Amino acid sequence: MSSDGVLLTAAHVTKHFPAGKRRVLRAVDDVSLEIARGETLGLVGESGCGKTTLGKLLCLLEEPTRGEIWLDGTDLLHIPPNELRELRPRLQMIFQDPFASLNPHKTIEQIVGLPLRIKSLRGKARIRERVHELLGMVGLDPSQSGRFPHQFSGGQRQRIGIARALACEPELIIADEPVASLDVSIQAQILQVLRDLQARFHLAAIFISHDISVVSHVSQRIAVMYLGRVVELGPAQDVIYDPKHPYTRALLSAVPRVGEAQPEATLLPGDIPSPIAVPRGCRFHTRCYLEQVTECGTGEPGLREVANGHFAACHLARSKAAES
Amino acid sequence: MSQSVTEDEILAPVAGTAPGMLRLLVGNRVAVAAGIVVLLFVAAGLLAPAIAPHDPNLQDPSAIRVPPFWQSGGSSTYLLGTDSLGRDLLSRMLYGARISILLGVAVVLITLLVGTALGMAAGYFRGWFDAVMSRVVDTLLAFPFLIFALAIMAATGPNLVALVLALAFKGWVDFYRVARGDVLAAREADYVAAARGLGASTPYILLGEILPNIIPPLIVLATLRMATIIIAEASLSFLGIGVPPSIPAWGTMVSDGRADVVSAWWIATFPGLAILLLVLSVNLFGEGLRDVLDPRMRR
Repeated sequence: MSSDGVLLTAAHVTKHFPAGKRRVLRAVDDVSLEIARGETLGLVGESGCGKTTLGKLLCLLEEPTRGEIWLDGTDLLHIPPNELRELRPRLQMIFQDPFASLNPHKTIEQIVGLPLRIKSLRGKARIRERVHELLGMVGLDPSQSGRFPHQFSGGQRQRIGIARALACEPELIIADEPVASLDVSIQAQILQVLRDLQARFHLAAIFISHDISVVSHVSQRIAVMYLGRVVELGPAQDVIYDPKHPYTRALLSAVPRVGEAQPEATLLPGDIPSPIAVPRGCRFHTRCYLEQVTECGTGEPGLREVANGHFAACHLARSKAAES
Repeated sequence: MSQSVTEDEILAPVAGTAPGMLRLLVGNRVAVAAGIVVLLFVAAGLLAPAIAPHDPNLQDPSAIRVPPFWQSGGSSTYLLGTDSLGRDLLSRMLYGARISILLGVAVVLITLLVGTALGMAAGYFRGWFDAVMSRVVDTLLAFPFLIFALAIMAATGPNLVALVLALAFKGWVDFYRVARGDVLAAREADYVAAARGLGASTPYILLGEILPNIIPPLIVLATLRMATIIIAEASLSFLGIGVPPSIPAWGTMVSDGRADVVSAWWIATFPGLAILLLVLSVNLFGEGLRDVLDPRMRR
């Protein structure tokens, strides 16, 4: 972790949604994370593993069932609503669907200018000037600021969403699959815009994706989620080249390689279990391909440090010292 | 002939922007014609004092039941004839347009505001307020509207305030249901989450972000409700418990002419036709508006 210090801390964050009589959908289960200033954390997992919910919890768009979230020493869940509202601009979300996240009845100038008006920046001319500056930063033509969202392409709309987040002068950006709905040719451009701005303003970022190869390019650390839990967390290089959790290994084996031998893909048996009926013991044991020990079916493994700064939630994960 | 198309024309959507929707509406000839008729009625009502040839309540004992000018015995003084008290029908019709439209607008505005405000609050905050309101609305829906209005008006006697309240009593329920349903959908939208994440206040999110998105169906509903209210007012006035007798109203006029409908057909027929034409036009215009503003409501 960088020496800048911790920006956001999530401790035992849990989100259960009611799902009928006496049943709950365990979207996020006891997740603890820390984000340092300027750091990029990649959050990977299959669809339905709770990564979007975790993203929304971390920027307080959902209220956790249990757990704590601290921003810079402030307990965000135990402050009055108006104080929380003032802190919100510091945590900004970039949404997956750039059409749904822009109000169809507002012009781009109104959309990007909203955070400025909330910050009570006064004067139409000053707001317009700043909006044009922000649009320039994300590579949009400021002269189009009077148009409506439907007059832009998907990539342009995503740039508008980024400009709006930037207008808040955030410290942490949570990007939820920001390029998943875009053409491949546009994806790289949008990622580049995000990285440039992150470097320029020293922003911390949580980059959510189902694609571990995309995440590995942009992140310093990677967290792998399975069924509402973080099962592996560590420096990006370590997680990619020396994965400790069998699930991470399976994800990585599915990534196509160029110029090196493709390892045989590890196919996981069965489907991801329902988050309404999470398996007892290790929640991955129903699909695990390793030789199991009794604990796998009885005790839920916590995250253990298996190498320096590298954690895995697996009974079978050996630390380097134990392996040799 | 080659046609060049500018980028703006390609980008201009068919629906969704004000100019685009106006073009669609103008393309609907029936709606345009209906809109013009409605405007004529509004103009007639507004300008009644200036263009009415006579005082609508002035009784001319020497000109009782004068037929319209094209019938034998008709005169150019009373273009559409006079009623059994010798009052000029044309002037009374013009003033009648005034009260019908005035009451319609007043009742629709009240019900629109009340229904939308309550519906938005119920849909956004849910909880006990939504639960209580939904029971109230279910109860009101089971209430026969005209019978209730009859009871109120019979108790208070013809007066305008009671009439507006009686007509508005149940009308807000429709606006409530539309507003609540649309807010329920809108509150889950990402743009609402985004606004919350930016630090926007709840009143701003409701009025600034959600309201603009739910207005179109409410406008359509308001137009269609207007027709219902005009009919209801005319019905109550016909029964003698609507508009006070000192104010000329179409419903009252039809009722007055009822006894003479064979010997002096014009007294009841002209106001009857006016009700028919105005309500028909408002409905047709409302349906044209619906096709443009809210296509999913089309059947």
